[in-house]
Amino acid sequence: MEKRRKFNLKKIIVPIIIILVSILTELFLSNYKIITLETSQKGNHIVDSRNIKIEEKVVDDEKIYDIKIDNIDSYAKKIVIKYSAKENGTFSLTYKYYDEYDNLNSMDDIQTMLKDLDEITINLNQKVSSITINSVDIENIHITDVVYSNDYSFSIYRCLFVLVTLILCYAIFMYKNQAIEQLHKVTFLIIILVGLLFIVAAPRIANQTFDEQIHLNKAYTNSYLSTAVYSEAFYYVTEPPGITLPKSQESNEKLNEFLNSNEMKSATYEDKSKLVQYNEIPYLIMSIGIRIGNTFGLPFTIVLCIGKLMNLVSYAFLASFAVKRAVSGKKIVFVLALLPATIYAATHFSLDAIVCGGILLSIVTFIQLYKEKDKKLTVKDIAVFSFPLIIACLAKAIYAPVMLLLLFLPKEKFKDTKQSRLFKMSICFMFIMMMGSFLLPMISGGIAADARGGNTSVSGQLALIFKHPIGFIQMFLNNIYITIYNFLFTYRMYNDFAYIASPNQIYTMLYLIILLYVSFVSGKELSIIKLKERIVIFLGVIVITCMIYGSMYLSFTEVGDTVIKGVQARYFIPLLLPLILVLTPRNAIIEYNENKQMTIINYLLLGILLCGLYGSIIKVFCL
Amino acid sequence: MNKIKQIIKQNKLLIKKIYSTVLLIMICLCVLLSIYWYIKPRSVEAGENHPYSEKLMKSDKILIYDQQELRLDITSTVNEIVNIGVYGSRQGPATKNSIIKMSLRDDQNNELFAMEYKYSDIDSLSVLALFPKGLDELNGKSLNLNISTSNIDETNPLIIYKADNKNDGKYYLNDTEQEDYLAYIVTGNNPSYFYVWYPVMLLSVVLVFCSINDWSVINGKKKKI
Repeated sequence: MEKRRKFNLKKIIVPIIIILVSILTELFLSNYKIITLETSQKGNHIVDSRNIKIEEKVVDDEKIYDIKIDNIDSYAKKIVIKYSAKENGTFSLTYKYYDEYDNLNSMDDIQTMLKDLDEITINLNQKVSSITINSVDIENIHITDVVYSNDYSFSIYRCLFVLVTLILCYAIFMYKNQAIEQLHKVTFLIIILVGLLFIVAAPRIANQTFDEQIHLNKAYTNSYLSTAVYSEAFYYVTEPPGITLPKSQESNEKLNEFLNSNEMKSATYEDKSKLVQYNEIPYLIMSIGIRIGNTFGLPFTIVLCIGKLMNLVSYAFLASFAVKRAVSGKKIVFVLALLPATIYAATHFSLDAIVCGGILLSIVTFIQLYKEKDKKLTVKDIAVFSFPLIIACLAKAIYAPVMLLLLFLPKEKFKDTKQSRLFKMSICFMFIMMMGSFLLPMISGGIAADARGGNTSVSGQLALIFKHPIGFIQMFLNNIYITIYNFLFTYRMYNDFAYIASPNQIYTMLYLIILLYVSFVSGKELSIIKLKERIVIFLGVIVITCMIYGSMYLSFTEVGDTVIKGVQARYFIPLLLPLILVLTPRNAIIEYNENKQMTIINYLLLGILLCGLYGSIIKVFCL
Repeated sequence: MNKIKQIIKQNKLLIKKIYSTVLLIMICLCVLLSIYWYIKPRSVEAGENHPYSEKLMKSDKILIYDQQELRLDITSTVNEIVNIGVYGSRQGPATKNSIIKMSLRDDQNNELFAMEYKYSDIDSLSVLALFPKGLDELNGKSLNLNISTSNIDETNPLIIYKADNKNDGKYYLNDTEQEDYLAYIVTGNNPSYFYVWYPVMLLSVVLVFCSINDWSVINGKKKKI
């Protein structure tokens, strides 16, 4: 009874303490400098117009104007520039400030005045001497007021960040004695909570990950049946090249208000086919979120967030299910599931996370099936292996060779030899169909080359290959040899946040060390995969690598170019697990308390994710 | 939950029978759909589009008024035309009765479709297009797009934009062939056999499940205890 009362009390007190600590931490971090200021310096201060000077300069025979704001000589937490603009104007801001030892230093920053907004807020958090807005197009932009603000503030995003950090630290601590058994729950919790923070904190403009505008367009279009409704807000967030992202909480809130305003609701209607194209089927996951948001008439920015949330939840399910099913190499699967680059992709309009999660689950299922040789193959096993893989291959058919792993299943898994043969034949048929969806349209000219690569042509490249087969092989292998290291061993594979600043390299190193460590300590578990299978899997990895380069050569590289363009590190993420399966030594290198070891790894991975999130998103867009 | 599990356990044979029947039905549906889409192929969007760009607005122009008629000859690359047109704009304010007449003719000069635009409806840069309905089997056939005006004089002519690069269309002003090219748009639909891939792909997935299914249950009876 006493114990039960204690447990209930804990259930109430711990959340209250976590929430209180988060609020107090944020209040302190946002305002500790303001508290120490003199009363005269607190509050908002409009800069005297006499201190604002326009300086004319001639650069390359063109007149340009700098706006200089002098004699501030005060601590400035934020600066608010009120303006009216005919066109979006990107400018550099130079501010001179006194450092901790009262020496005068200067700092540059790039900002954008959006024509649809009337003010921009910039975080300074320094004792500022002067501010210069460089190269202002004064014909298009008219600055009406400059205010520096030393008001008390509260960033809900940083508060949520602290809250999530504390919840996850507490959860990992609670599971410390069952860290291995509960690893799938920790995976799900980390992906969902950290991912949610990514979603709410990032600006609502679709140019933060690779081809996000195209992905949002497809997800949005497929959320409608026969008539797609495109609002002005949709065009605003998807039109390339996209605006420079606002870099403060206030500016992002203003932008969200504008996107949700009535003037951005006017829409155009376009007829579309009810039949979803095969390569657009994976977008339906995000489309469902968008549809739900639009059905309930939610504001546009919320609709976008729900679309991203669906992507995140599906990745969280795939990844945590993969961790749960992993009978061998559970720790490796866990570390791969928490790859920062994949979680980042899962929180944006991108198919990368679904592709990575799907292939991870399929390979893990294969290992399980392979290990449990005496258990007969069931419908559930086939479904868990093939459906995530089909979804992944619909998005990127180059991973279809993973399907052939099922050919390794021993005869004992089947009722008789006939069933084994029939099964393997049907797998080959399915593989041919998947590859056909990718190769046939490309060879027959049904798929156009990617115009982003320049003067590209699939038929032109094929003609060139047939004309110079030896030269092509030489060029092809040379390209792989020169560039593959760049993809496999740099931050681009592990910690790439695409079009926003990626986290510090130290986090990539730390992640790699953890991945190598868990690979070495899990080697013995993977000894079930024998040398013959390892060689074939390795060949499979090489084939997929060649297919990645080959597809980019055909569709993204200009005819006659000897440098293959468009290959990106993210395409190799699904190959990490097969590579580790092949290369890990099969010895037990370290044997000690697994739960303890896993708890430390949990904290380290959480640290990598949270530091990346704070440095790249919260600090830049949410303060 | 336990009750559901118990019901499933009790009716295992029935569930297996239903599952096997569903697999058979799916095979039949996939085969039928692939045959149907092979015989009557679905259509995909196709066409030729001179893209709208800032460059287009600065390109050379031709002027159309009551004494100046335009004819654009093209060979259709689409089976069913959804719209066909050129880029146009108005120089000054339109008068009340000013209209633009557009017609689409085949190589025998038979009128396939015609419509009129009010000159006042033309904005700074618009697509002057015809939206014919029910015109199909046009792939590879020669088509003429004719544009003439009524009550539009040369002081306020209709402006038609030229293409900045070569294309497959030839154009004539008052039946005189011109050497340069017009920016034009043709969109429509072409039949595609690629959709057959959908049911065949689904069939390949179903076959994997069929290969490990115990087909003897279809005729199986519940054992009497």
